[in-house]
Amino acid sequence: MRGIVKRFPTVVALDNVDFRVRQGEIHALLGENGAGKTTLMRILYGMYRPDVGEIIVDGRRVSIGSPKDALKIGIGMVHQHFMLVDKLTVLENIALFVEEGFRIGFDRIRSRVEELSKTYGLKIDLEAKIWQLSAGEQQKVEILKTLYKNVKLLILDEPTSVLTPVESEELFKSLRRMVETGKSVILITHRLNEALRASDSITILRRGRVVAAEVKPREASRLDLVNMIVGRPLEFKPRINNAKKSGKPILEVEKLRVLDDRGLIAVKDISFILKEGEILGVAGVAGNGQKELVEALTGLRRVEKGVVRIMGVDVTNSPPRKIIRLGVAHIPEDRFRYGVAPDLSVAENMIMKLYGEKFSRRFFMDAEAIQKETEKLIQEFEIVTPGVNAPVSLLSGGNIQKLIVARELSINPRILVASNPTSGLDVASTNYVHRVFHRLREDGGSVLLVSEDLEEVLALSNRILVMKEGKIVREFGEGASISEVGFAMTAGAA
Amino acid sequence: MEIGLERRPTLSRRISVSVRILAVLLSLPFIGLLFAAYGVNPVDAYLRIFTGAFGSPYGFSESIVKMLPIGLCAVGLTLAYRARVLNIGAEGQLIMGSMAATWVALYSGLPQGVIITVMLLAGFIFGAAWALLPALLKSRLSINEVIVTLMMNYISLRLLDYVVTGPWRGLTQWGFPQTDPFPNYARFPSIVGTRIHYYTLTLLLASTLILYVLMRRTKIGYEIRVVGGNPEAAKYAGISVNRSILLVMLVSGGLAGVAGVGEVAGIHGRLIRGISPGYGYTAIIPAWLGGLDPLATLIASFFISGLMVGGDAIQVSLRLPSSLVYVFNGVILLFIISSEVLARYRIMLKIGGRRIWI
Repeated sequence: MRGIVKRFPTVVALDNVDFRVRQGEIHALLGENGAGKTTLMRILYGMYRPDVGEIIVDGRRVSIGSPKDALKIGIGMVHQHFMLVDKLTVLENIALFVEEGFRIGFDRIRSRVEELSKTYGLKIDLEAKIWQLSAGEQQKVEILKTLYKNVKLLILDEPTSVLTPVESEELFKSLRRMVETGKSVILITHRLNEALRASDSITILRRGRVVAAEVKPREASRLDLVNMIVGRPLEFKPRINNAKKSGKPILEVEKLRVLDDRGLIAVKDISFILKEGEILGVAGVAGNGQKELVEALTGLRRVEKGVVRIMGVDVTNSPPRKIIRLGVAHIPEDRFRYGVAPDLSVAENMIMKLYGEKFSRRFFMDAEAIQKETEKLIQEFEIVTPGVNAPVSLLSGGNIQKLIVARELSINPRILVASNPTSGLDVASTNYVHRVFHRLREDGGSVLLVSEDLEEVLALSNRILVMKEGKIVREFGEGASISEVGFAMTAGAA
Repeated sequence: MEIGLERRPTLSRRISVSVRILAVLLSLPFIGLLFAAYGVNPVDAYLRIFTGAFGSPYGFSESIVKMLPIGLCAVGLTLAYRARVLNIGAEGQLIMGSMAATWVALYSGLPQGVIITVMLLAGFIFGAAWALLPALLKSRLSINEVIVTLMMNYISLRLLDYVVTGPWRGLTQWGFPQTDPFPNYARFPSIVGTRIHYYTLTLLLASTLILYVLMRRTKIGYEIRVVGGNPEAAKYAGISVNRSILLVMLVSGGLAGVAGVGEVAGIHGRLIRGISPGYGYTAIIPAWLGGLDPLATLIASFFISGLMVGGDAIQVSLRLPSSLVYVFNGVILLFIISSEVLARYRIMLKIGGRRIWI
């Protein structure tokens, strides 16, 4: 890609970007939120048109007007949000994507998919329905879809954000096989270790410009990368120590049982305590009851059996409002589903938690206070938005996450329940959120940190609970190693 | 040359208003084809519609008369639609309101001083009650409100037929399907020389104003907007989604009920079969045309009412079928709803190297 420029109404997203991927390599694309990584890849995949610049594939200048065009010349993309039909099987989903005729040749497609999954080590049950699969398995389906189309270049947008360490390893092995057969892979990621370990070459974008192209991982250190990405030195990862060991219990969970959407037991009679001034990590492979646990604690899901107490108050099956009033903030796992109302403005979304307390006088809303608070938080959290009254749907994913974090911390919580709080955030913002957690803890607040990012859990937590199949299978103190916890998550010593 | 759609960087009021006006204007030539098919010059037809509706004191006052039921229903609907509760049942709620008021007027035996107040209250309550069932079904069992409210329109229509041909059929009405006339003290007075029953007009203006303030300035309005924007997020923020659904349904049903009271007490002076020529359905159009803003919806209601009055005029003078007006309304609604996309996206034309945004 040569000299790519893309302007959006309020910003220049890409400013004269050159980007080159060689055949047979895994190329990592790094950068902060809004640096232009996704925009650049969307141009390559035909979702956007560049204002200026050209795309050259195998020495030929091409014009890519749509994803269809991109697939035709052998470029495929796996998005962060999977494009699969929940109620159909794996095979049906693949057929939907690849079949061009009127009749669907299931047998033909099946044998081809089986062959592909063998070649690249992407094992999957073709008859399983999508909703039965883990995120990692769904990702395999997405990859198989593009491989079926004979792509030469596969773009993956933050593929490991939904994976466990073991699954990530598997993915990288598959990707390695692909490049060995002459394909190329572009990997968009926030995780520096991955880029350093799994890629052959790294390009870094900052604010729409290339700051480093085709860096060899062997020749760069983690710190080099951080400096290039952020553009300024960053004190990295405030290691959190010395919890107040004597903290009083602030959240008590006793023999909690919660059902999932299908009516199956997702949380199996678990008990634990969160103390004042403590960050308690909950690690586990996605889909082992963490989501249901969090929803039950915040009043969004019915508790079947057991008791939840916050500062001594029984809040089992209390409405969310009561729990919020007790000082419980919640950064939800699915930010688009729960976190925001996309058509409402930034301000309206910012006050969602305390609209009835802080931002209204009796019956009426206090427009002035709302405006002021929103402006303050936008500045404090460096949220990029066209304005206070712009609809949230105009913000990038990372900035929406910042908005949610800002809002939840603005209620001065006693307890913060955070699910994957930094997923999709760049290095600087992640760092900022971690520091805020730290500060919250210093002030006597507590954090229940549910995260699939093991590194994050390990770096921040005073204690770690490992959840598997709805139970707490292990508890670790500070200083646990990533392999220990990772092993407990998957193998599960009882 | 290339054509594409791009997201608008901001959503401005000016754009959404002009897009709607454009939609109405664009629908005109389309309906013009229909007029032409009847051998009528479309321009002539439009002129006649316009002068019929707004060109004479009589037409103007009649447009206001029709605006009363349409406006009351429409303004109530804006509230429901804001919460993404698609109440299609204003027609049935209006009919229930008119029946309740009729019972009070003819059979309650209440004295002169209170009867009108009680009629209005009864109308509101019965309209609201008719909306309560779909609201409960939606909030407790997630049953689609569109289907339930629509079906309940037919139930109320049959109920109306039953009472006016059965138990309530007027003794002095020579067998026509209508009740005896209300006593004079149970009828709404009109502005002299017109049929504008000003009790209803006052209620319409007051409720428009109240809902306008409610939506923009109050906690309840905020909650309704969040529920409409994303019910899951509302739940997460501690807003009771069920309560909001109930509230918007009761208010929109109640206002439709009041519209029904106005029709029996202000226009006909009795309950008749076919008390509403589809006002409850027609009201859906101004609610969207007004962008779900109560004030704009009131203005849009006046415009749509004018179309109906003007439609009546050409029906007589050009001998066109009366259903043409409903086709007219339908086409306008179609254009408005399709135009929503232009309020959010802009058209980009690329000619040579230059870009033009519309």
